[in-house]
Amino acid sequence: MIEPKAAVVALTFVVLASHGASAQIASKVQAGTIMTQQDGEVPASIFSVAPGIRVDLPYLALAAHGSAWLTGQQWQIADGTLSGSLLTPTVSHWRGELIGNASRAFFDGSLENDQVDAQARLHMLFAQRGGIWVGGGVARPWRIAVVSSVDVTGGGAWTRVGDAMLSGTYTNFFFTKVAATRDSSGATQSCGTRNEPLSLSSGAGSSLSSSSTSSAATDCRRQSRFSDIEGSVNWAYGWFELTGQAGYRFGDSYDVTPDSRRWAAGTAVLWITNRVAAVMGGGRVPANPSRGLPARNYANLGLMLSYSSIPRTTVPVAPLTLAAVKDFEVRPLATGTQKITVRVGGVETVEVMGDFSDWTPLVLMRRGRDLWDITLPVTAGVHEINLRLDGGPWLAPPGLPTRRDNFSGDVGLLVVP
Amino acid sequence: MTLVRSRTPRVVLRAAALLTAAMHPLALRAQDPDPLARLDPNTRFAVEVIMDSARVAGVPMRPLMLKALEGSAKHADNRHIIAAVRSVFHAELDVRVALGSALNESEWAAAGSALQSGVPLEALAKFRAERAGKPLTRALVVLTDLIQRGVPMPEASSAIMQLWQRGAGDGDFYGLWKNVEQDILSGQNPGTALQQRMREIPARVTPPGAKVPPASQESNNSSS
Repeated sequence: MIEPKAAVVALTFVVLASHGASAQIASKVQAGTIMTQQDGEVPASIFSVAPGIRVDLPYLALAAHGSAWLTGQQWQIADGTLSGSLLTPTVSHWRGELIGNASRAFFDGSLENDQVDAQARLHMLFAQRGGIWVGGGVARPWRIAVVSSVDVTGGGAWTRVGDAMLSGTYTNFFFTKVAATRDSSGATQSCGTRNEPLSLSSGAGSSLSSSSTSSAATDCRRQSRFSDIEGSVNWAYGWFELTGQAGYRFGDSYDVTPDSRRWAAGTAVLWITNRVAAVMGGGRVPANPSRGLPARNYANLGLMLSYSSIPRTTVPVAPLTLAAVKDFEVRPLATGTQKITVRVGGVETVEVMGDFSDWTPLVLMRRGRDLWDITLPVTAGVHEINLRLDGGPWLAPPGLPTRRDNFSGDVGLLVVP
Repeated sequence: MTLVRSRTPRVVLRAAALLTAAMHPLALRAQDPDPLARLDPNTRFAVEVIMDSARVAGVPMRPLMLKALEGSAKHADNRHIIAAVRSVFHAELDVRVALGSALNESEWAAAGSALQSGVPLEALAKFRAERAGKPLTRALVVLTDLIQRGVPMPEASSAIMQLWQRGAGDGDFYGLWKNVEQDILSGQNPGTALQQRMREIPARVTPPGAKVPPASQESNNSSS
């Protein structure tokens, strides 16, 4: 049994140590205070540490993140998730994605469960401007009394408007619930009927309801469904980022508790340096019946130490063009090498190649939120150089004279004195 | 026990140093002793034949190999790779006719680029007549870019030659290029942009060898 405090310290250490290992590794640690309140309960103040790490390969992304809470005098791992995403190449605007997650939620001894889920998505991309996706999957929770499986179907759309990204999703949840007539604490609970919402006597505290019921001597089986529609906006301007989302849950009153009917939340991030940001947010999150998590209000304030902001997650956008590059610079270092620095946000890989590398692509290392660099021994003279973002086309870097490359493209002409 | 403890960090440091060295991009590059192996055998043979011709003719061979590798990295088909290598070879032969063989590697590259971008042999040959040891590289790089951006060749060639004859330094050429580039991006006619910017350059220009600011500083300076 891993000591929770040791586990989160280990993950935090891995996150911090990962810096510099590869440009494809992004990591962050967020620490701060969370004020949380469930309906009818006294607000609680929690100190939270939340490390996360993400490894991106051309068609595979792996991520781990979690959070440890200090409640009273005790550290606890509140949740941890391992994720993997397998992407196909983009063919005629289409791209496929397989997503798998495994997670554990652990809180206060009364809530401890695991879940694995798998989803498939089909994305249609419209260059950089936007995209749509449809998909579906299944989730299998363990060690939670009320849900045996969840079928998920849905779709979404996203678009960029100036510096903002807007997205909307519509998701159907179809639950098969199994609840023992006696829960793990031994308390008796009712199977309920169509007109009698099921209430748990312990555990998450959420009130669950049924649309059809069958009862046996030892358990109750029910099926229910609801749909979530959610819109979100992410706006970044300079060192300031703002994220907001709002949603509404459709379903009859037996499937949707009043406290989860609608919700909204927002987060503001102010980057103090390339790697340190102040984070402030708050709002309401709806109940998650498959995990036994109740609806609650929250407010948080903290600091984030990041070797990158863990990027856009599930929207596999098309490669950006060089218009996104804010700065390209080549500076000589005292060691006789040249340091190539690129400032570009919203990308996951930046590569250069040129005659100095025998035209072998070299991955730049992420040094901050939007800062990438590489140091190379480039000899004095004229060198041809290309730059690529997120595996897109090879282009001439901005700020350099260019010429045609004999292959229907351009190269930058870098003169090293 | 004490000995073991004292050595452990050193071992770790050495292992880390070896790992870092092994992961350095250029270390990876050095592990590729035969870069032409990236080409398919037929293309490689054709490229090696052209490279051998370059060796016999006394012009640089490395740019030919690099052009083949560039085509391979950009997934060009074999026919285009061979055509591009041949084009570079012919450009080198023309450079030697226009400027002679007493060129450094940068000047070979810059002059070759200029010819491939459409600068006629006669225009390039004028630089030889006026050369007298003056560096050619930046003048030719800027000339190449201006032509690519749509400045009529005679005007571009004449302007660059004029600056070069007046002893313009690297900073002058880059300043001119950056300003013209901005004007063109703003929608101005390329030829007009060059003419207007040429008028702004004083008769006495920066001495040759003056330090050129890095790319990011150039853009800041040009806006002022």
